[in-house]
Amino acid sequence: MNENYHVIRIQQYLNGKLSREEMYQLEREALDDPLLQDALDGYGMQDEVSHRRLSLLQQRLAARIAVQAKERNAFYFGWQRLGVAATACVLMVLVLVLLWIRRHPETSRATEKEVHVELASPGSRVAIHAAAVEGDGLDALPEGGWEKFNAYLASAGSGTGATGKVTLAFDIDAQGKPTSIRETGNVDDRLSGAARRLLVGGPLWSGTRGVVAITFE
Amino acid sequence: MQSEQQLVQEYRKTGNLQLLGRLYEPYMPLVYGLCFKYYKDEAKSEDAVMQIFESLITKLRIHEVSNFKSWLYSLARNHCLMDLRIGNRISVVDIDEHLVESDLFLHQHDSGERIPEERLVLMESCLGELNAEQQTCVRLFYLEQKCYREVAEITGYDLNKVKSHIQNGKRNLKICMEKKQG
Repeated sequence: MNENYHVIRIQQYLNGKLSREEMYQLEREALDDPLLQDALDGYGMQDEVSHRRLSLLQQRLAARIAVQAKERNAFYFGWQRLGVAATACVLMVLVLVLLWIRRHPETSRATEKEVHVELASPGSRVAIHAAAVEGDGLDALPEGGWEKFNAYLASAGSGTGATGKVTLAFDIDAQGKPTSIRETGNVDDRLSGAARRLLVGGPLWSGTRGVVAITFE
Repeated sequence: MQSEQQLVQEYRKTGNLQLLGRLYEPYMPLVYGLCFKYYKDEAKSEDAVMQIFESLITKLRIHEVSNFKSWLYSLARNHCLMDLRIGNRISVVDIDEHLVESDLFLHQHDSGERIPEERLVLMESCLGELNAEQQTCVRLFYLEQKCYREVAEITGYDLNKVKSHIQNGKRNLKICMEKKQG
């Protein structure tokens, strides 16, 4: 049914331009069609059909529909973009995995090399620790305590490869540095040299005199 | 050109406003007229036409609609009534009742001239039960096919009175016939 035709008829009806038969026809239709009846009543109240208002309404409707169309497009592009981004991510991961697989043998070789170096010089990882020798007038205490001193030895002492024990006696000067270092007991030149270097390069001391036994294992 | 029912189904599936616009646009002038009847204000009626479209957007996807025009009428009228908060004074249109009514009319149109004799007899007896004003107006309008203005001229009633006599007479006639038939 053409509803524009309705509007024109309503207008003609209200303006009294319809014939008696046509008026009857519209009234009869309106009785069976409550929407038409109410519309007829409504237009009857304003005595005219404003085509300007109706076309403005059509424009509003078109604008309202266009909003969704825009939203749809934005949404659509949004999904499209998301899709592209997701594909790019997947491709990147794939490429990274491929690169990793390609490089993997090299990295494992490098690890082997490292292990090899370790095996080549087992002596380089000599455990060194020191212990205070107790005695009269021996009051030396390394700054931070013996644990810290031992930790320093462990990190600084990349020993000579030889093992053994060196006992060093020393005085402590006003600045806390060990001075007049001398070996007591068995003397191994290589070990005592290393032990002296460790003692001189190590932390400051408190007290006046000390004897320390440094063990290279 | 898609039928109205196809458009309704298609819209329910897709939610595409262009389809709904094509459905709604032809009825917009009628809905505007209806709104004006209740609001008696042009700007408010225009806004209501758009608000009704907004509620169509969601409601048409929820409800199963077999007769879009009848359903739209109920929706639009209820919108105006609710908005004016006079729903208590004027009963809200029941969709089902209205659909039954319009189906009945479709049926009547279909059967055309071949109305069974007993129905004519029934109608005649029910017509006799209407009050005098309704009976006169209904007879003049339906049987003698006079338009409202002619009925008003013949009876001397006011034009609006004629209209309401015919509307009420028709409703009473229908109720009476249903009662006697059932």
